[in-house]
Amino acid sequence: MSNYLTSEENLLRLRRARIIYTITAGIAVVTGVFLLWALRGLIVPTVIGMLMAYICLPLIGYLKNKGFSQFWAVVFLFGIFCLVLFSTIKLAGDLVPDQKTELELQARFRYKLDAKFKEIMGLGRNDREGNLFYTLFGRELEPLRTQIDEALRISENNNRLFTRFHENPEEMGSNPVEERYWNYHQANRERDREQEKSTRTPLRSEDNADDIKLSYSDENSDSSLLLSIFNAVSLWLITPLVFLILLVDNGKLKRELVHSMPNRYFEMTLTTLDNINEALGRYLRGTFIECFLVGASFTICLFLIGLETQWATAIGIIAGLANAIPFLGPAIGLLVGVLYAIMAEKVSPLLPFIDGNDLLPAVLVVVAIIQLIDNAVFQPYVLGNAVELHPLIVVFGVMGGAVIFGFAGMLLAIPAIMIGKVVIATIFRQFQAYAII
Amino acid sequence: MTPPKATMWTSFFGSIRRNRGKDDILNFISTVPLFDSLSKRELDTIHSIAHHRIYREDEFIFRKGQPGAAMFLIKSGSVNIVDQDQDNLTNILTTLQSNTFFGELALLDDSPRSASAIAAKTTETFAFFRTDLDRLLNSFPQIGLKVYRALAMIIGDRLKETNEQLLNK
Repeated sequence: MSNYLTSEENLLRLRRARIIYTITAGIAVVTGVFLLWALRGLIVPTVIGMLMAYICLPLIGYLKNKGFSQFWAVVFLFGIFCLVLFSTIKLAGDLVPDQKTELELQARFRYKLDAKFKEIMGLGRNDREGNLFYTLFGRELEPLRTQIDEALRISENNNRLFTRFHENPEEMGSNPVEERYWNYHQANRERDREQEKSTRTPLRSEDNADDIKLSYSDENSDSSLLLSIFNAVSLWLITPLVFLILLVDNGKLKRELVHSMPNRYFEMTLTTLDNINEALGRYLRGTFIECFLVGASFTICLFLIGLETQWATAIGIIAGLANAIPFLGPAIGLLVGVLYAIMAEKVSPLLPFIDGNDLLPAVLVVVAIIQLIDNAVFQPYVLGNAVELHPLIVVFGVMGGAVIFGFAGMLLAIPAIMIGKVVIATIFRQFQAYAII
Repeated sequence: MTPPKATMWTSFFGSIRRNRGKDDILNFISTVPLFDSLSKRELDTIHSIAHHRIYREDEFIFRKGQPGAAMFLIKSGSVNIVDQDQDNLTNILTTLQSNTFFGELALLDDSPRSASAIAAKTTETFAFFRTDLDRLLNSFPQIGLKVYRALAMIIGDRLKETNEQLLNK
C-alpha cells in the first residue's frame, strides 16, 4: 500500500509508526515494572524454578539420546523434581518443632551453651578465675555469650506454659517433657535467680511481644501463622510450574526472541545467547554439583560421627545450599554444625575414636576436612576456571541479596551477579566481533 | 520502492504474518542436498531448529570477516556472494538462486566469513545454526550423522571442482 504514497506521506507514516512503537514500548516497560513490583513475592520461587530447569535441560538431550521421547523425558525429570521437592518439604516439616519441643530445645541449648562456655573457659565452680583462654579472649566473648543467653531465656509466660507441659501433658495434648530437659530448665532458672540477685536484671516482662506471639492459648496468632505458612507454600507452587513450562518449551522462547530481532542483529543475537548459555550452564551446573557434593559429604560425615539421620541430612542440606555463597558459605556450615554439636548429647558415633559426649572437636574436624576436599577436589574438577568475582563484590552482593530477599536472596545473589557479568561481557564481545561497536 | 527498513518491532509484528504452513517448509527443506537423506520425522526435528528470515534487496545477510555461526538455505529470491576490498568496492563472486545454500562452513567452526552475502532481490531464507545442530547431534546422533556426512560430501565435491578448475587453467 505504501507504494501509492508520496515520499512526504511515507515520511509521515514512518513518524506515526515510530510514535506508536514508542508509546507501546513505554506502556510495556511501565506495566512490566509495576508487575515486577506487585508480584515481587513470586520472584524468588520463579527464579529457583528457572535455575532448576536450566540445570536439568541437558538431561533432556541425554534422555532423548537414550531413546526417550521429549514427552517422557520431561515427565521423568518433572517426577524426580517433584519427588526431591516434596521430600525436602517433608524433611523441613519434620524438623520444625512444635511449641513443647521448641521450649525443650530452648532450655537444652541454653543450658548446654552455658556449660560448654564454662568448660572451654575453665569457669567451673572451683575455678572462678578461668583459664588462659578466658584471660585472653574472655572479655571479648562474654558480651556475645550474654546476648545469646538472653535471647534464649524462657520468659515468665512460656515458663508457665512449659510447667503445664511438664505437669499436665494430657491436658496439653502432648507427650510429657523429658525429665532431663526439665532439669536443664530448672538449672537455667536457678542461674537466672542468682544473676538477678547479683545484677538485679529483671526477668523478661510478661508483655514481651515474642511471648504473646508464642502464647499457646492465642488462637489468632496460631491461625495467622498457619495462614502465613499457607501463603508461603502457595507462592512456592509456582516453582514446579515454571520448571515444567521451561522443560516443555523446547527452545521456543529463544526462537521467538531471535525471531523478533532485526536481520542485522539476528546472527549475532543467537551467537550471544549461545555463548551466554554455555558460560552460565558451566557455572550453574558446576555450582549445583559442587553444592550437592559438599552437602552429601556433610551428611555422611556427620552421620558417621553420631548425628541422627534427620539432623545430619538437614545440616547437610543447609551447608550444601550455603556453599553457593563464596567465603560465607563454609562459615554458615560451620556455625550450624557447631550449634548442633553444643546441643547434642548421648550420641552413638559409628567411628570408634569419636567421643560421643563431646562432638564439638569432631564437627570442627569434619568441617575442616570437607572444606579441604572442596578446595582441592570438588572445585577444581567440577567448577574448573568458571568465572570469578572480587571478594568485595561477593560481600556486597550477599548483603544486598539478604536485605532485599532474605536468606533466598543471600543464596541467589552471587549466581545473579555472575549471570549479569557473563551476559554483559558476552554481549560486548559479540558487539565487537560483529563490528557493531 | 524498497520495503520499510526492518526494525525489532516490524520484525516482531511481521512474525505473525510470516507464519507459513509447516508442510510447505518441510517440502522445501527436503529438496536441499544437505537434508535430502532425512526421513519425514527427522525433517520435522530439523524444522524445529530452522530460523525463517526475509531480506530486502541489497541487504547484507552477513559480512566478510564476521564470525560464522549459521548456514542459509534460499527458499526464494537470489543472493550475491561478494568480496569487498579495502576501498569497499564489491566484486560479485557468484549469484545463488532458490533451493541452494551458502555459509555452510559456519557449521564446522566460527572462523570468519571469507566473503559477504547480499540479497540480490527480496529473498526468503532459512538459517541453521552450528550450536543448534551440535545440540541435535547430542540428542539425535543419527540425524547429526546424516547431515554432517552430506556436508562432508558437498565440501568434497566442491574441492574436486576447485582442483579441476586449477588443473584446467
